[in-house]
Amino acid sequence: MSNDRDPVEEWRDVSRRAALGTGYRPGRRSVIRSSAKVSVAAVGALVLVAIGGLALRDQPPRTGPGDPVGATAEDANFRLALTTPRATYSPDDAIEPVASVTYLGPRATETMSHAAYPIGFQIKEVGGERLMGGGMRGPCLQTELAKGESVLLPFAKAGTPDFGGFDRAWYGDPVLRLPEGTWQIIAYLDVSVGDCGGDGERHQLTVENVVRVVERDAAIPTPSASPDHPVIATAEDASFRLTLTTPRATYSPDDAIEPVASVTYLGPQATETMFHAAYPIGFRIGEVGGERLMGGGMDLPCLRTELAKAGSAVLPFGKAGSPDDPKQGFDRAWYEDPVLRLPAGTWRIIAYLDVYVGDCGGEAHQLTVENIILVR
Amino acid sequence: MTAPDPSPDDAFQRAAEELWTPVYRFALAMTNDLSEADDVAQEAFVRLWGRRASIDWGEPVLGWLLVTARRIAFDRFRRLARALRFGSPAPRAVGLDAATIERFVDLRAELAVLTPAERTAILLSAVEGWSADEIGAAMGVSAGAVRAAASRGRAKLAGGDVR
Repeated sequence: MSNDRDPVEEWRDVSRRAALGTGYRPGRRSVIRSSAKVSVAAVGALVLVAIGGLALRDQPPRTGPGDPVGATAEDANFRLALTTPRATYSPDDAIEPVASVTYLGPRATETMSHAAYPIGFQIKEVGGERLMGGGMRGPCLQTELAKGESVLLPFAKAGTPDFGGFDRAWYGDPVLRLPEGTWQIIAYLDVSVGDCGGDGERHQLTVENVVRVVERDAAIPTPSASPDHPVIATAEDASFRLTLTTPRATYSPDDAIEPVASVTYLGPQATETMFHAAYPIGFRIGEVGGERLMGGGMDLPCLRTELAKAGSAVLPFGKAGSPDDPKQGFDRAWYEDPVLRLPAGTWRIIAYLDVYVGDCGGEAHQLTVENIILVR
Repeated sequence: MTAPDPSPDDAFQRAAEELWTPVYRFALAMTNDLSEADDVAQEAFVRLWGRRASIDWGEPVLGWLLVTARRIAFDRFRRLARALRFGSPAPRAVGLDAATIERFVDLRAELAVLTPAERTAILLSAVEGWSADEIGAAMGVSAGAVRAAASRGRAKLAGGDVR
């Protein structure tokens, strides 16, 4: 670019043109979870079926090494959740814990005052000395949450290099990998409401996931102790339950994989109207330990679906994404085939609920669940 | 005889027309990305729409929109960092003409040396005419921090010592 023009003046004109070219569009929602704007034509095959009653039942917790590990804790106002995608890893695997805090009420919105983030993380070796973590310092920042709204925070390293058994290089790598052993991954919520610091009402919660790190051959994810049993995951807030079911845990590359997601309205009203993009539930697919990915945001005018209390809307999986993006690893022919088949590997199938109630742009409800399956 | 107060819907519509450009520019300075700025500004207005019935429309709402946009932008930074690990595609600008996008691509690279605070301090004081106090209120920092950020940013753009 030319060096003789003033970047501020250039920005003045470009930003004006960009602002004029965009503008607020009533009824349009951005999907925060993914900034990618993608073609949603491929989701046309989705069929939304509203049915009464619970179509899917909760299953007892599973403990297979390929299953996600989850834990929650809550007080009267907040729920803290921590999820780690698998129970067993090898020392080379990226471990990707994610924590979330949900405001449960009673107010319509609440402002949390906190250090750098409302949630901090610690790592402790079970039966050993190694640890990572420490207090958070920083200005009193604030995060506002509507009732039922959540903030997701992926794991981030924090602590002092060369203290606790992890060196500077380990801290310098943003990806969490751990040596062989059994580890506690701890997330702690530490926020005040009403005022920052000692005068506010303090809320502290702690949850932990325990994971094992073993030599590589033993760490190959096994999605379920019973490969022919369905894989089911659920998440819920005060008003909705999101459930994702994949009929089996193990498939061959030629098999049709048929995940189904459902959203159930839990109350308290007799009926509730959800405002959403093309569909209340979106899907993503990610390769565990690989680069291949399918998915993206939905970006369409606010549609609505009404659910009776305990009633569900069921959506079979539908493909959506960018067929022409070589980085995603799925070509146009794959997208045009409505049947989901996947190459050999371990895959996360993710369903996310993204709706508002009351009005389009009103009280947000966002939930995410995932099934891990093996294709071989 | 005074005109009746506008309805919340009318007041919102007026705010959306009058305040889109400054909110979008603020989001653009924060994110340095056309598509991200659009999403951040849209989300800020969606949240305003959700509160239109309870807001005192006699008071200016620009400050509320900017603080909301800043929070959304920072949340998005965290989400983007995670999305990058999943290999998500880069956001694409929509609804803009190719010439504007092309001009921004060059400008974006030049402004990428600045932090969000530095871009905001420099660009919004020059382009929107906001004071350090006003920018500080939107960014959640003091006016002194805004002036320091502007000074550092100008030094970087001039290729000088920034430490």
